[in-house]
Amino acid sequence: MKPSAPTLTLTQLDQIPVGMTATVCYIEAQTEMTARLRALGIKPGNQISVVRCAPLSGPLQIRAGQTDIILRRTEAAAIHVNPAF
Amino acid sequence: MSKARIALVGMPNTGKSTLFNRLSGASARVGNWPGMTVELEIARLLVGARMVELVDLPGLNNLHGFSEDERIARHFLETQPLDALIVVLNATQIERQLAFALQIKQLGLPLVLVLNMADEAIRRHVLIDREALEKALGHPVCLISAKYGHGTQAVRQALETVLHENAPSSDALQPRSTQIQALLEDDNIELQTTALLAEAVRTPQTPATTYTDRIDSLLLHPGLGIVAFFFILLGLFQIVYSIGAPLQELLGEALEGAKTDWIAPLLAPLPAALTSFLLDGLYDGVGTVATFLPIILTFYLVMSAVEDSGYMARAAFLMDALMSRMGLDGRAFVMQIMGFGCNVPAVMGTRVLRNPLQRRLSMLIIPFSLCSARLQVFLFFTTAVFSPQAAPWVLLSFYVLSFLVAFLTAFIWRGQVGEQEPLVMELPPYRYPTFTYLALQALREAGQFLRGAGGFIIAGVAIIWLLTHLPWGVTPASPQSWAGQIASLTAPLFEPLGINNLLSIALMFGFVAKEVVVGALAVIYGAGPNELAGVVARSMDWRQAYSFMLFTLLYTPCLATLATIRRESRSLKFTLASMAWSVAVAWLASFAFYQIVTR
Repeated sequence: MKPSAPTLTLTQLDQIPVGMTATVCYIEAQTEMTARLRALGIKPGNQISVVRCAPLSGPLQIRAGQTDIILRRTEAAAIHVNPAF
Repeated sequence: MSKARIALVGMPNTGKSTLFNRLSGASARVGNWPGMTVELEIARLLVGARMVELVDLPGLNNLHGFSEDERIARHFLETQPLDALIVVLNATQIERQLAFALQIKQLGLPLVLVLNMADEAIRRHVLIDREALEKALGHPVCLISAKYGHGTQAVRQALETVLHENAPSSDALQPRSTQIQALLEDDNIELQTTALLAEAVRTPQTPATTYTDRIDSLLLHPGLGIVAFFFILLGLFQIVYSIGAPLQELLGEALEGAKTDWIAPLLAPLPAALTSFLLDGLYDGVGTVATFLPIILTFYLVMSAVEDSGYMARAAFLMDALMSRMGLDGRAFVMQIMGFGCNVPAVMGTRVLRNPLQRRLSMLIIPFSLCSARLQVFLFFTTAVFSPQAAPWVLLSFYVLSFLVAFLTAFIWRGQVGEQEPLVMELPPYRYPTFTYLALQALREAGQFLRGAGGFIIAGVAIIWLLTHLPWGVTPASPQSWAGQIASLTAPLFEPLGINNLLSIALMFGFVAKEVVVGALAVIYGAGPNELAGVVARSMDWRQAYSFMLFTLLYTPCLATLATIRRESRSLKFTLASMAWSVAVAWLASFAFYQIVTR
């Protein structure tokens, strides 16, 4: 499912600074986890943004469309995104 | 005509249960299902001329999810005969939730699609063309606000039509597991969703800044958010226990009054031993159960308000960094704190943790919270034995120990939770909780506590009565009673802790409820209420007193807490194991303390 455009700079969601928007490219997780993220609106092609992160390396707050989601950094690392500059 | 069965399905936070309560009124009850380990809420309602059994299934994200709730809901859909489904979606999030409705549609059952929170959708400029959606989908669609009761009548009508058009068939009985399997990775649904959305839904490109965002910029602020969290927690605690505790006391006094003024004279003609058993055994047992009701009611009112408002998910967000190291999440922290008032509702409150193993871990550590009943014991001993300068510090040390032991226990047993469940959850917008719904919920919880834990508590109180009153004729709780004999048998275990026989009899009373420990001591030492402090101070030094208090803090919660743990965990084995753990920890802690300070 990797997009073929050559200029993409892929990074993991936990590396994205707060306030920035990115496009989901692919998710490197087990089927069930991928399905749950998809159900919450985190799926390839969708734009998501990092709203804030909890203190002491706590979870991230992600906004996908009309839905806000919290997830731990380990889970966020499985989501590969293309930051929109 | 035959009875129809309809299940309510939907993603978490869609207001599914609110709709369930709207449709069912107060007729809901919990029921067990063959082959299923959980209770589900069921209600009977009349739809047109047919009696309908409505089942509320736990929230599920999709048909192949991994959480306990999803497993239960899926299992139900696979195995139980059903005539129709109500699919509830959050209208504001129709963009992502519509795919779920299409997955459910594949099951081939008649269904009604309910788009809840339609009022919120309008505020967020999410526009839905109901008729176009209905036509494209081929199923009735209702736009409602379950919270305010708008549109629920339309849901009933749609149900009636659907049931009328689809006369009961053998299809309702066919297992649907094969269909569910076939749904995995269905890209077709994706395409259908996009087409449907293009046809019937308009969503704003960028979500507008909402009041939720503004509140969160304070409540989820890295520094201020934590401060606010503790203030909110303190506020909740104050509300629950400043309302609940006086009510509990009043009820206790009323029951005590009724006992001496009405029931005792009534029983006077009976033999003394029987009267004592009926009054001090059974009646007090029933009274113990009853006095928990005000606390449980206020606790549930407040806690479901917190959950419905959306703050519970925020607590999970804020405290996750700390709690995830112990295999738990921030919601467990809230329950731990609430346990400082009373362990019973806190254990019931662990239901917000949806993973059963996490719930057990949380139930294992809540009993170490220094509840208000234990506080009474500590206040008595610290003022009787310690100087006024030292007493507050002694008390503080118990609060610190309470936290330490709880967190250490969670840390030790966190491996039992298995691989940590990922934290992936929705952060819902703030919403006003609705009082009628909360009150209904609180009443139902109280009823469940009565049915589930009542018998266990009464039996326990009766057993302790027998131990302290048998053999007939001995002075109750004296060294000659069975309790006294047990105390002298176990003396070798308690001597190294500095706890004498008389005190270990008091500990047996403390097993029932910590509130009665001081009263029991008065009976055991044969001292009046005003002399007891002096008698206790003369009979032990500070080391023995501290060791006794340490043991009291840790050894076992009260019977009501144990009964609640048994009910909530649905496992006697786990309940006994958790008790064994507490007793072992208490013994080790008191032993270590007493041996070190007496060296």
